[in-house]
Amino acid sequence: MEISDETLVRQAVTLKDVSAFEQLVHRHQVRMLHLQRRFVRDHALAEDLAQETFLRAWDKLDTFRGTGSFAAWLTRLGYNIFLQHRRKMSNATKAEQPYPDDAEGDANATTEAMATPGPHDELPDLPKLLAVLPEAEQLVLVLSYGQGLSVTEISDVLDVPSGTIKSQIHRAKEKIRAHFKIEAAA
Amino acid sequence: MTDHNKPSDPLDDLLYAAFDRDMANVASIDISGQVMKSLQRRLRLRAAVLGLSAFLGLCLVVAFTLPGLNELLGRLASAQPLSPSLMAVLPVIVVGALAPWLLTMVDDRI
Repeated sequence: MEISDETLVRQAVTLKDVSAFEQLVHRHQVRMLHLQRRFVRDHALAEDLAQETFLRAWDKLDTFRGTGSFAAWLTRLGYNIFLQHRRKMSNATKAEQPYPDDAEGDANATTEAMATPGPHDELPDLPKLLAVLPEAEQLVLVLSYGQGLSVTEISDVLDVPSGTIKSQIHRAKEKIRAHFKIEAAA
Repeated sequence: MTDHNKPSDPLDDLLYAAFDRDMANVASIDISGQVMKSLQRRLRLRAAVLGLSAFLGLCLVVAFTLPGLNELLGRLASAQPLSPSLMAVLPVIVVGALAPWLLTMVDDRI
């Protein structure tokens, strides 16, 4: 039987068990990398931010109360790391553009993928789907469909009421549905 | 990769599939080794800083209490009674002896 995240956190905190923490990193690294890659355009930067998130998680592990899932707690941490990075970048001459495409750090490719996609594209990829949405709605979809968080967990991560999250998800889906001419469920 | 329970809406299907495909792009990347290496380096650095602080703290305590300590040991050896001023040296010695442990409390990960 797989050891739960909560048990691993307890081991890491009480026994200072680094290997328990390593298991947590193994379990959540893909999700965290994906989250940061959705936030920043640069793959190497996404890896750096993901690493920074895990190092911060180690420092703050004893603040995890176990009231929600560890994944949601870690996502919140990752989101805060991204916001800090963005604040730093906003002071720089060229601000980081949130939720760009999946291009390899190439500004031209970014512009291309951020362009409004055609409605008849078959199986549009994620950047194209998200490109028709404003930042806040992209974010809730990433947290909901990508990170697998519940509305309550997203509400905790973003400090936004659950009702707002629900309507943002609904609005985002309606926009995608309309843009890509996808029929609603019967 | 993404947990979901048989969505009935075609848009849900599309979104889950798009996120799964997107996540597959990073599935082969393993950052755990780098994370653990950075963590170990950080822990070693902290331990070194704390160890050095403890050592310096102990040196300071010993330097300040050495005259009193000599007298204290001399009196204990000759079974003479301790004066109140000598008794004051004792808590300082205790704190000094516990300094390394107290310093580790600064960061309970170490």
